[in-house]
Amino acid sequence: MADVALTAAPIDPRAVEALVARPGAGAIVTFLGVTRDHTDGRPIEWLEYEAFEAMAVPALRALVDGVAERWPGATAAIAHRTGRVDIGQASVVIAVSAAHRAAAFEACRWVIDTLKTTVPIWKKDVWAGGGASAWVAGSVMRSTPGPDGSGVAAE
Amino acid sequence: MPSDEAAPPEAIVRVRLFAAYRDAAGASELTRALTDRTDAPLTVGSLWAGLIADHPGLAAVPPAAAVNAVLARFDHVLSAGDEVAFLPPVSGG
Repeated sequence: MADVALTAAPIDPRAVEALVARPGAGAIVTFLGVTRDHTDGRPIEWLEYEAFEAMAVPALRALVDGVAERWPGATAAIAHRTGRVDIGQASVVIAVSAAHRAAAFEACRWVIDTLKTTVPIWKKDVWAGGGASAWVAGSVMRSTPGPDGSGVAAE
Repeated sequence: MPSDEAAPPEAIVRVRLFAAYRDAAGASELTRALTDRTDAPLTVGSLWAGLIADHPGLAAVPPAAAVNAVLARFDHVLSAGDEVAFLPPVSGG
């Protein structure tokens, strides 16, 4: 597995963690985004993820690079699902290693928070009982902010 | 916007639509002629306006746009062969 991956297959969190393991790391923080069985009280059968791969892979790469720039010595890896994801499975796995836990927690939080606005991936709730579905309301896509806050505007 | 059916290949742009936009337009890929009736240069914004005219359902949510897989502004002037992706608000994670 590469340190940035889009995959239609279930993600093994241990495999993502292995990508960031370093002798100098004193902490690995792993975040799993997991598909929930309801939205606003309405039961969900499964979620469907769609990615614009030609942009999503570079956008994920920018997050991995962003961790290395913002938290020197920290290393990140990200795997995100595409296609149907059943309830309780990980739709995204983010692992960050760092010398100390504070940086690992902070960087992992930054990756998932930023990913939600900078990576062209969409999810659709498929409701229980009949297959009706709706795209989940999201955030207008922007580029990954640089360490100084630049790069927010397009181009 | 005129039909692009008869336009030579070099005079078109390719359009990609994702998620809610794909559903609204009933297509994931379209082509459009590079010039409109006024012969003004085609921009991302004028391309989007033409798509909304053809598929009113597209107007429901505001897009981001990318030209050749790089985020672009709506005043970006398009060139022959460009691939323009319209991206509804993203919801990964």
